[in-house]
Amino acid sequence: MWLLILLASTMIVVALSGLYLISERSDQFDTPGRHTEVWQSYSLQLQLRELLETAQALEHGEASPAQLKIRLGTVRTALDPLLRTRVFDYLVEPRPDAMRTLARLDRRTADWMQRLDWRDPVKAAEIASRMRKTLPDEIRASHELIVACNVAVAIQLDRERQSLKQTFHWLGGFLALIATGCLVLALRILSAQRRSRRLASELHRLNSSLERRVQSRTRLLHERETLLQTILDSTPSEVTLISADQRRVFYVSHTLLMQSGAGRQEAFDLSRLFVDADDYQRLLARLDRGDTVQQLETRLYPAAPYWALLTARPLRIHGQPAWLIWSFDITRRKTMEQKLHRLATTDSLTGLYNRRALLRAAIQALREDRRAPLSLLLLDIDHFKRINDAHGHPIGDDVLKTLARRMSSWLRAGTLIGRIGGEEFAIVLPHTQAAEALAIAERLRQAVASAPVALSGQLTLSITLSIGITQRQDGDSLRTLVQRADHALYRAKAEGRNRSHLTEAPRQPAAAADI
Amino acid sequence: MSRYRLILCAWLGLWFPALGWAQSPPYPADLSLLTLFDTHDRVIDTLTLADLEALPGHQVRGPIPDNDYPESTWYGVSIRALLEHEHLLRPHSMVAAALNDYSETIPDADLTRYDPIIAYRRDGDFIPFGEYGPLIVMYPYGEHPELHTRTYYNRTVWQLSELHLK
Repeated sequence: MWLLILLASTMIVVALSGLYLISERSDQFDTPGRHTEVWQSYSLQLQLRELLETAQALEHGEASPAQLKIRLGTVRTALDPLLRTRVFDYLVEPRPDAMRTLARLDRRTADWMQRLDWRDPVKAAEIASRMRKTLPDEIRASHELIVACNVAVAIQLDRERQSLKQTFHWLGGFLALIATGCLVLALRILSAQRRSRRLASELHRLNSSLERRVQSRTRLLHERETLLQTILDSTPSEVTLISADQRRVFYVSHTLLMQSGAGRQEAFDLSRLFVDADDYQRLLARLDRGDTVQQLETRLYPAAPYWALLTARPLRIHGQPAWLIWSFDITRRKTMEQKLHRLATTDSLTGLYNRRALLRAAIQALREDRRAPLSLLLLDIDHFKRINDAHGHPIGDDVLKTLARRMSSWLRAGTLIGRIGGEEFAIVLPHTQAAEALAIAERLRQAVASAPVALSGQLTLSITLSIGITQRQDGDSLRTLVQRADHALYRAKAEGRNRSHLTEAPRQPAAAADI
Repeated sequence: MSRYRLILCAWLGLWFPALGWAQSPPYPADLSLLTLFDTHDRVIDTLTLADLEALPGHQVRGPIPDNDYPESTWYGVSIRALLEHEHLLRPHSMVAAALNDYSETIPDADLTRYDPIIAYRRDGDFIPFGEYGPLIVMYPYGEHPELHTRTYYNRTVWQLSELHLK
């Protein structure tokens, strides 16, 4: 690289030097050279001869002073180029005689020129006589001048030839250098081109191999992705993989997408999937904390809510936080669960609480507010055994069912009512004083007594209730409360049935003995 | 204003000597300077300075060959105009001969192309006999740099005295 730059720089320098040389030399040839000194010296001699002839003619009265002056002017003009030329510098050995002749002629002719008048024949004659005496010697001397000019011009021409030859030598050298440089450059370019072609073919080979690998890799990835998609699509669970900022949805099951109300995956909005916005916020909060959420039950699909079990965990995709949320439809399980719960807490015949459920509800009511008044009613159908015996158990069951329905409809909503024995019911009245409870019991008893139960087959039975009532006291447990109510029921039965009996609370000190 | 006046004065100062109105020649005014010969070498006309000055003149720039003087401004009569004035048909060529017996042929084509002049003033002054005068054939070297060749230097005849039509 540096070698190339050096080479190119050298070539440029050489080319510039050549150009400089050419421009310098060509300046010398801008105007035609002189080389006319030989003719000029010859002409000078000729004019001197003519001047001499004119001077002689004037002396013989055959020429005018003007003619002499014109001749002299011609000599002066012929002298001028020789006085100004530098050709004599070329002389290897100086020729002083020639130089002296030149100087003398200049001096003399200038003097004559000054003295000669255009119309003064006397002065002209005088000068003509002078000319006639001196000019023959000058003409002889001018021969040496002609020789000197010839020698000088010959040398000048040869110097110029040498200089030109030298210039050609230099230019030849420059051209040879440039040609060498061009050759080296061409070789370098050729080798570089060959190398680059080789590199390009290698690169091409590498590229195609890489492409093949990329293609196979892509195919593999695509297959994996398809497989994953198939697995996800065919899994009974619904899945969504979404960035934590919810701007990017990597995957969402078709069902979830549909349930969220979005048409496209990009428009999927997690929050619109939830029926209960609080559930959504809770899930978000836990995921934001980095927790893995296990088994979160919630209702999804606001348009047609169903129960789902969510499992969610935060993870990272391409370095960005994301959430993987699995949703499992547990509607059937939930229904089953609810059914089981109902079965476990409900009396199957009447649909009321069973004994266990009622007692649990009573305990809860007792614990809810320990200061609040609470009354418990125990109800028993008088002589129920007779109905069973006379009409059979199905009729007895019908009676129980009808009674249960009636009591439920008469009582306030929220009143706890359950069947706790064969023909025995219990009612828990929270926030109800004993007197109020007694009034309710009486109304209930009277309503039952006054409205006979109509059964299938035009059978109508009149039934009555015995009711034991008690109110919760400080320190009461469920057991003591039930015992007291039981006692009151017993008293109602003992007192002749179809009546209510309210057990007065024992005095505080006696309570301990009663328990 | 004074600046313009200065420029005007300088301009006039440059041109007035060139016109040479207040100058007499360094030779007798009645001296015949140029002789015209026809193709049979018969004299057609001889011209004095006054004859030449009577003709329309123009100026060119150029050097006197072979003596290293800087270029001068020359004023004189166009040869073409001179021939027209003499009612002469344009010759094939003409030979310009000098006082020093030098001569060179000037082809007619030069008259058309370059319109050389017979100069009688150099930088505004008449030209003495001792300084290449009184007449010089001068080409417009200033306008045509291509004239700087030996061919035209040879045709730039100084001390012109005769013009032979051929």
